[in-house]
Amino acid sequence: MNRLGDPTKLEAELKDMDQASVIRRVLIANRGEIARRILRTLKRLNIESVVVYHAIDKSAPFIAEADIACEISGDTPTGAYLDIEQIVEIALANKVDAIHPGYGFLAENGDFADALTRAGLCFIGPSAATIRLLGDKVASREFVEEHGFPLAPSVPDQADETTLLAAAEGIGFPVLIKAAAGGGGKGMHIVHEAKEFPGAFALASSEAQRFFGDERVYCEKYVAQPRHIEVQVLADSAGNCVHLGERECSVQRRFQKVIEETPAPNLSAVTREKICTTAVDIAKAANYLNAGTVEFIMDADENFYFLEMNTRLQVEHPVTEMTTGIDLVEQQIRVAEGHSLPFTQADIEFSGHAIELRICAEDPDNDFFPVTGRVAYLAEARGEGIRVDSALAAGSEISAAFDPMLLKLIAHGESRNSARERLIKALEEQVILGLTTNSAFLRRLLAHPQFISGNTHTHFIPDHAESLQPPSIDAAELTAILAAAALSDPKFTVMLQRTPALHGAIGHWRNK
Amino acid sequence: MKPKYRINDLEYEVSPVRNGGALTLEIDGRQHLVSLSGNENPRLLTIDGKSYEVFTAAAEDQIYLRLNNHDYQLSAIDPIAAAASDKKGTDTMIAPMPGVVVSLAISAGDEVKAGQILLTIESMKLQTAIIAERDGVIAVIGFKETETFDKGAVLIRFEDQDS
Repeated sequence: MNRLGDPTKLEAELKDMDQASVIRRVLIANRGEIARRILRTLKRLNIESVVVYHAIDKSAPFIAEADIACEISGDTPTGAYLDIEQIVEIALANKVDAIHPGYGFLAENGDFADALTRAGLCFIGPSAATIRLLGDKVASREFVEEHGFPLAPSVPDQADETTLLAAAEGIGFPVLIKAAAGGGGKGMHIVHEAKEFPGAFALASSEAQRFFGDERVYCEKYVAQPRHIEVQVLADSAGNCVHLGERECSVQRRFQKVIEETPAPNLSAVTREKICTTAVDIAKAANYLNAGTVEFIMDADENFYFLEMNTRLQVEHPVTEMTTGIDLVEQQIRVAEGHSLPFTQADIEFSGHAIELRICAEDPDNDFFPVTGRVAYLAEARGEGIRVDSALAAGSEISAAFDPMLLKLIAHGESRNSARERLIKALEEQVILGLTTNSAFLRRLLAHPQFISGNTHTHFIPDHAESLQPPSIDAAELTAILAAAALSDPKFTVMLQRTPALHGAIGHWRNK
Repeated sequence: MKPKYRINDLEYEVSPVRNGGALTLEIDGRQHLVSLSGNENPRLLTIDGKSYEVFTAAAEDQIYLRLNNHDYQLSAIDPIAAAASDKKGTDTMIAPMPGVVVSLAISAGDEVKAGQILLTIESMKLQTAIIAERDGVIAVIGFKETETFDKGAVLIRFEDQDS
C-alpha cells in the first residue's frame, strides 16, 4: 500500500484520527479467563488496566496481571459483579476512560451502559438503547419480524401462564419457554406436552426473575434437531458493518455450548453467504455499534431462523480470531474510540478451521453436575495452532459461586480434521488434577464418528449418550491405578519408610 | 489393618510385601512388582514390566491421577473412621450437587409432610425444588438463603423418627 500515492485514503485516515478519542485506561468488569484475555490485548496496545475482584477470587491470576486491582463486595460474589454503583465508583476513582464488560454479568445490561454514560465513562459496546432492543428477546423478535427477517414461530407477546399455554398449543408442542430478558442459555425449558407446562413455566419465571431481574417469559416452537449457527458482526459509528464469519455451536447440553467451531461443517457456500449477509443486514437495521453476534437455528434443509442477538463479545470468539487473524477486543476498543473499521468486508480473509472446547468443573458421569475443589496440579497444553484461555493456576479454588468453566482450549488447523487432531493432542497435554472435569468426555466427543463427519445438532449429546459413555476400566489398568494411588499417597509412603522389614525392599540406605 | 482405596464406589486393599530388592504390592489379593519414579509430574509407573506415564496429586485423603488420558479420583480409606459411620438415611437431605440456596420454604421446628417443598436450590443455571421424602419435624436447616454449599452437604436434618 503506497500511502503517498493514495490521497483519499490518507485524508480518510486523518479525518478518522480527528474524530477519535484515545482510551488510555480500561476497567474490566469481569473475572477469570475473559478478564485475562482482555488484559492480554490491553497490554499489547499499551493500555492501562483496572480489574475488580471478589474476595473469594483473591488468589486468581487475573488480579496480579492487571495494573490496578480493586476489591468489590456484595451479598454474593456474583452480586458484587452486578453492583453498578460500586463499579462506576471504582471506575471514577481510578480515572478510567472505558469499561469492558466481558460477557455475562453486566455485559448486556442497558442500565449499566446508561450509568457509565451519565458518569462520563465509555462503555465498550453498543448503546443502551440497542442493548435494550436486542437484549430483550421479545422486542428483538418483533424488530426482526417487522424488518422481514426469518423467524421461528412463537407467541408474539409474553403473557400469563394460561394465555401462554393456549398459545403454545396453537404453535404445537414441543415448545421452548424462555426468559424475555434472558440469554446465555439460562432460564430455558423444553415442554413436550401440556401437563408439563405449569411446572416449567414456574421454574422459568423464577429463574428469569433471579438472573435477569425480569420474570417475563415467552414461548417459541422448538425446532427438532436444529443446528445452532451464529455470525460474528462488527460495526463502527460511521455505519460500516462487516461479518467475520459464522460459528457452529450445536454440540450443547442443557442449552450450554460445549464445542464451538468455524467454519460450520457441511454448510453450503450459498447458505453461508446468505446467513452472514442476513446477520449484517440485521445489525445495520438496528444501527448496531461495536462487536455482536447474531444467533440462528437452522434445520436440516438449511432454512435458518433468527434466535437472538448477543450485544457483547461471546465466549467462543477465539475461533473467529484464529481463522481471521483479527483481535476482536482490539477492534472493540478502536470502535469505542470512534475509529472507522480498518477493513472492508472484502479485506477479511478466512483461513483454515478452528475448534474450541469448554473445559468445566463438572462430572459427565453424574449428569454433568458441577463440582467444587482445588487445583492440585496443572499442566497447560502447548503446541502448533493451540490457544489456551484459562482462569487457572495451581492451587486455584473452584467454588459454587461462579460458572464452572475452567478454561477454553482452542485449536486451529488447515482443515477441520487437522484442527480436531491437534485439539485431541492438546487435551492429552492439558492436565488438571484435584477436581473432576469434562476433559475425557470431550475427548470421546471429538473422536465420535458423527462428530468427525460434522453431523452436529443441538441434540448430539443426549442422542449419542450411550456411545459417549466412558469405557469400563480393565483389570490391568485398575491395578495400575491402585498401585499409582498407593505410591502417591503420602500416608502409604510414610508407612513404607517406617516399616523396618521393608527397608531392604525399597532400597533405602540403612543408615539414613 | 490393610490400606484401602475407594474408586467408583468399590474398595480395594493395597499393601506392601517384601520381595527381593524391588517393591512388591499386593493389590486386591494379587502381587505385583511396582515402581513409581520421581516426585515431579509426569512420573513413570512400572508395574509387572509395563510402564505408564502418570500424573499424580494428593490432597487430604483424596488421590488424583491421570493415567492413559483418563482422570481418576480415589479416596484413601481410614479404616477406623469408616467403622464409626454416620447414621444418615432418611433423617437428612443431602445436596446432590454444589449450589446456592435460593429460598427456604420452612423454618426449624416446622412440621412437614412428605412431598412438601422444603427449599429451592440453584446450580448449573437451573433451579431445583428439594422435597421432603417423609413426614417429620425440621431439626436443622443447614444453610441460609444465598449461602453456597458443596456436594454432599447436609441441607436439612429431621428430628429422629423415634423421638
